[in-house]
Amino acid sequence: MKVALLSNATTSVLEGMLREKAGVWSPPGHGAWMETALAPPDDLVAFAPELFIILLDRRFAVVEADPAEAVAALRRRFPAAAVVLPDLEAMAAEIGEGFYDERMWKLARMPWSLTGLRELAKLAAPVKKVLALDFDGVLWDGVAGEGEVLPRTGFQREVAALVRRGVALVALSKNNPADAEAALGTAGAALSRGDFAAWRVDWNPKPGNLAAVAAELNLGLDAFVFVDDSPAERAEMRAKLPEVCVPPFPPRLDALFPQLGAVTAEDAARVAGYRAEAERRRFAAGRSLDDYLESLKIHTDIHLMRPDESARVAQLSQRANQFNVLTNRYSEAEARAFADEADAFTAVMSAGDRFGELGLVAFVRVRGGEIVDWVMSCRAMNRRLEFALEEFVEAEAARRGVARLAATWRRTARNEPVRELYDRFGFALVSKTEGERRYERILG
Amino acid sequence: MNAEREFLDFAAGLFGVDPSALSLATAYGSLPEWDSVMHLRLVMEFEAKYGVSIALEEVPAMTTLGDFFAKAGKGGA
Repeated sequence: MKVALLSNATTSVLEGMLREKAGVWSPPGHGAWMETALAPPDDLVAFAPELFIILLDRRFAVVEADPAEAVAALRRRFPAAAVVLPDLEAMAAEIGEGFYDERMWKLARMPWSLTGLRELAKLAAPVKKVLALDFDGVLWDGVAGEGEVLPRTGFQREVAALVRRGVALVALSKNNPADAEAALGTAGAALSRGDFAAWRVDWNPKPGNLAAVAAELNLGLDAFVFVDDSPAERAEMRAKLPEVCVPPFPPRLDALFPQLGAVTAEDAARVAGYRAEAERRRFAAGRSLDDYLESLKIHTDIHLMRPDESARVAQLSQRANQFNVLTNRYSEAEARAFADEADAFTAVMSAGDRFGELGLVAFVRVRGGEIVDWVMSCRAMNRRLEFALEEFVEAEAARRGVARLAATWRRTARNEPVRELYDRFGFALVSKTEGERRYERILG
Repeated sequence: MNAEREFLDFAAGLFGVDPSALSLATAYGSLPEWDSVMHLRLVMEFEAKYGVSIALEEVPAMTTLGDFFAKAGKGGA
């Protein structure tokens, strides 16, 4: 399975967990979910994901654009891939407070606890092959054998569509078997007894029954999705068989079986809705990244570093790993001393958008006609802010009489995203090795 | 099993390295597998395994495996 993760939060820990079982792609930095969906980078296209998972946290973060637009854009661009937008609020409600970890948010803008991460990892777990179903309240309203039942035809049809696409059904319900069979025969039912690959309709605990079916079908427990309207049954399953995927009720089958590209009626209607919405906004051909960035009303303030900004500059040099071309780490005292250097200047950039201020997000230091630091917070990546800063730096260097501006990128474990930064700025590549690229730009 | 050995095996499994590569003196950042991302995961997996809780303020001070191991006995797990 090849999975692309898009999120408004940090997903690196989740990526680490998923890499044990799947190929994972995610954009550099974090928070660039909408930018990525609207303008997929070349390496994402080359990765050819089979599954997109869009994780939008609303507990700590702001969802700054319409997720439906991202889903529609990805479906247009990657028709062979499944696009999943899990309802994280529903998952959190299901798992309880333990879904989140506020410490992790404060440390790394990563909102989920280990429990939450494990639940999320199940979304990209090995191909799910089996749907184990409770009956009363799931396949029909009412209780089989206690008066009339009313089939939930829409849901049964969705399940029937999964069966046609090769998902095995397991009956896992506490009923009198004869009553259950009779209820399945009610007018309006889309499923019948024959659709079930295994039948455990009795009064035994469900985890035991499911484990027995797994052994019978010779499948791992992580291939199972268990759907039940009873929170107590779901909690018991989760506790006894943690590998089984137990979604909140009602489940979103399209998100649970994405590898099938299961397009349900509801799904198709939703997609049609997205398209209509997009057309209304004149973005039928795909809203451009420029339009989106424009809509964020990004503003920047670029100037030479002031003494009171040296602490933040030092902090950025310590923390930034991805957008850091040379990865020099500075103490506050060292950063303060930048101001006293001869033949040198340090430019800083603060930025914000209509959702708030990001603060000081980047600095560039030029000494002796060479860019010796180019550092930007990952919060500011993917918004093309680097171009504005570069323009300022070049103008300032030229003003100070620099005729040739030199620059170098040196490889670290994390700074691949800026390997071609100076190429994007239009610098001339002077020399390159595996670990280093040297550039030059004639100013004036 | 020796508690220290078990702890180091746990860390090695998480990092995906050979247990012999680790000791209680192994520090955050000293091997490529223990980066900032793995550090967060170590905090969470460690808490889950040993039934302890590490406060936000404590995390920056947890810089060696020994710092973690010292907390391992305090959760009763």
